Amino acid sequence: MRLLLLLSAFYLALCTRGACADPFQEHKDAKALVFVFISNECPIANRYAPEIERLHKRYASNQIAFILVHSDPAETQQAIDKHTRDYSYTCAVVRDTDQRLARKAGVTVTPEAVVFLPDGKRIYRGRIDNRFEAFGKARPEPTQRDLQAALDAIVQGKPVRKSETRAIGCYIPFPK
Amino acid sequence: MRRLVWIVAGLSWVAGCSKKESAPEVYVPRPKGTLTFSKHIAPIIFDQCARCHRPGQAAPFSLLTYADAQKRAKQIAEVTANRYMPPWMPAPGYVAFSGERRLTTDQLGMIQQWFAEGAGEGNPADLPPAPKWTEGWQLGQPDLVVTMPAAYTLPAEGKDVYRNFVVPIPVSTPRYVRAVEFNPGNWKVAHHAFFRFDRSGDSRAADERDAEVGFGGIHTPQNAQAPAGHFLSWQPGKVFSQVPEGLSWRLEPGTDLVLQLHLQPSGKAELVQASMAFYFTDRPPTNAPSKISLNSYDIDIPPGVSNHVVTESAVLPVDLQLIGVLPHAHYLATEVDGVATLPDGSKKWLLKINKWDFNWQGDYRYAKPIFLPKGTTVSMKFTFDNTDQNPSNPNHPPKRVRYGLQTTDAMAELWLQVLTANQKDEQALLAFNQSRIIKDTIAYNQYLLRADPKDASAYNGLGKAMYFAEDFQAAWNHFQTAVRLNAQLDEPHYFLALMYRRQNRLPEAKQEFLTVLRLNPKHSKSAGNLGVICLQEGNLADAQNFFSQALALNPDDDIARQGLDDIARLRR
Repeated sequence: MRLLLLLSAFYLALCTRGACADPFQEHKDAKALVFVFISNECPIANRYAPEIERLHKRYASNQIAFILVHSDPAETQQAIDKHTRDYSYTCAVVRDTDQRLARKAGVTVTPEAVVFLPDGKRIYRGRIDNRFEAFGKARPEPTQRDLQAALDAIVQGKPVRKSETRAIGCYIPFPK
Repeated sequence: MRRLVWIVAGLSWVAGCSKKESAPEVYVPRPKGTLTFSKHIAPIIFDQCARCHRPGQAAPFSLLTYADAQKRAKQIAEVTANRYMPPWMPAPGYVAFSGERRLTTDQLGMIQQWFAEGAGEGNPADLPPAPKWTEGWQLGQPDLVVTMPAAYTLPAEGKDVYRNFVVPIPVSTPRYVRAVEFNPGNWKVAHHAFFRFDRSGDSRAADERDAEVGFGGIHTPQNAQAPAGHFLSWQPGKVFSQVPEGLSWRLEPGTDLVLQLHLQPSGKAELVQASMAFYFTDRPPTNAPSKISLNSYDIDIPPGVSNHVVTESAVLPVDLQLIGVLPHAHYLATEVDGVATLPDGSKKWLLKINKWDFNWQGDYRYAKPIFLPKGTTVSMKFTFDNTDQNPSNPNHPPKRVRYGLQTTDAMAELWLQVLTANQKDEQALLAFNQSRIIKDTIAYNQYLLRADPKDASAYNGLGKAMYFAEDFQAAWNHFQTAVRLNAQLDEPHYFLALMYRRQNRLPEAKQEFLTVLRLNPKHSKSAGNLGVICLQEGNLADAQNFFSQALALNPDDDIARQGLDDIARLRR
């Protein structure tokens, strides 16, 4: 059933309701691609929904593509659609059923963000911000907005200072 | 490699505290590859996790099947190892509480070994049947259910919300409550709750002043209190609050329930409409619990200090059975110790929390009452971390934090719920508590005056403390200062009036009581006092008016009722 389009450096096919495409091909003119890995049931990922949406809108005019990725093969398209509606997401939502993107990106939890340049070079991976320190240990407000700092650097043409941070969230279920 | 031998950590004890009877428990690993979900892990999950981790309950996902558990095996291993789950703050091995939600060393060890060896399913035939859960109210058909009259809309994002919701309780006669059960209405966002009761209308007024449903803040009006001598709180996993035998509490007609909910935004707007079920009994209480509070107003935590300690203690005036404990602190606290030093010098742990978490606070009931003989010193020790390393620190960068009611201030309180053996001891405890309240009131208002030397309410508070300590000269001066600083405050006028009455200076007393009623037309006690004075003066018509006014404001005013009876008799 899975349709593989061997197009980009990643040979990546992400499907939305049966239509599959390679985001790197789709966004080859973008300054950067931001993948935010989420899942339907993770309360930490869900709590970030308004923040993710805000970042998406903030950088929309800067040619930065925001793509939400579901990498748990057990999540149905129907449940993902409902989740997208419930949390009022307007950015692109794709399924990574074979977890190829998650592995390539090196993410382990939701929510976790990865920023690529269109040529496939990864320039940031990790948390959205430092609101969560551990499970159940949260700051009242974040004091470091790492994803935003990385995107600001890209927009300003500066090097990204912190290319990796540790994301706190729900583990993506990779088969052993 | 994962550690397969788990040693229960944190078994250190305060010097002199009764030693552990046994060595720390150690997990004895099972033969490699023998642990399976079906046979070993499912029973633990059904027993310890599934009460919340099942559809429609507090937890964000269900853990009833192998697929559920396998998918989250790593997370399960991690959150159980660091004791984030099941949520239970008191450290193991110190003192036993009823309803503890904690994995045994063996259960924890099995989960870790199972995960480390691949989290296998085993033979599905080994799977025990899932527990049969009672649907709806867990204690059965309630005698009364009250629900928030309107739903509150929790915003999609932002800081955690502390909000109070006022729910009238429709009982027409006094009832004795043996249990309450809470349903947050929206399990996803309700984190913890405290329940108070208010007959004054103050909470209702606060609700009306706030445009949205309910009113904000962690401190409810003074007249909203837990039932006398009881604690009442809810956290996920705590299904209901049932009183011990013989300790039912009285619910009066005209009482409002004040639900204080801690709500965590979920990422989308959520509706919250909570309910509470009441279970009554015909049996009046045979004993009345009391509370003793240890608290410190002398809190001043410099920035950058990770182990600032605040202590307080008291010597018990009579023999007591300790049945419950409620600690309270805000975000900077990290550890809470409660210790009793008995007259023979031996020590007993009353509470040990090594990882205080504001979000999981609540009350704890001892598995068995702890006997504390007269002369026992009960003491508390709170440790605070005011560095950037404390993620809960509301200030970034850290700054000086002092005592205060806001969550960004600091507090340190340890409440003990106790039973006395007889009425004589109960009276002695009452007197003891009164003297402590006077001492605390003085300390608290002095703290307020350090922050604002022109705080009229603080002078009023000092005046009241001195009044009850029967230092009338000092009380007089404080009330006069309060009136001078804020002429609109009704309470100092009331106490000045009482003092005029004591001196039999009735015209001045009358003047002050009338001032109180002008400033606060709902002050029933002033109306009642005016009735008494008019009666003394032989002015039956005015007396009748004032008594009627008092009774209309407070139907329980026995003195006013008696006054009206007297007038009727005099007129006959």
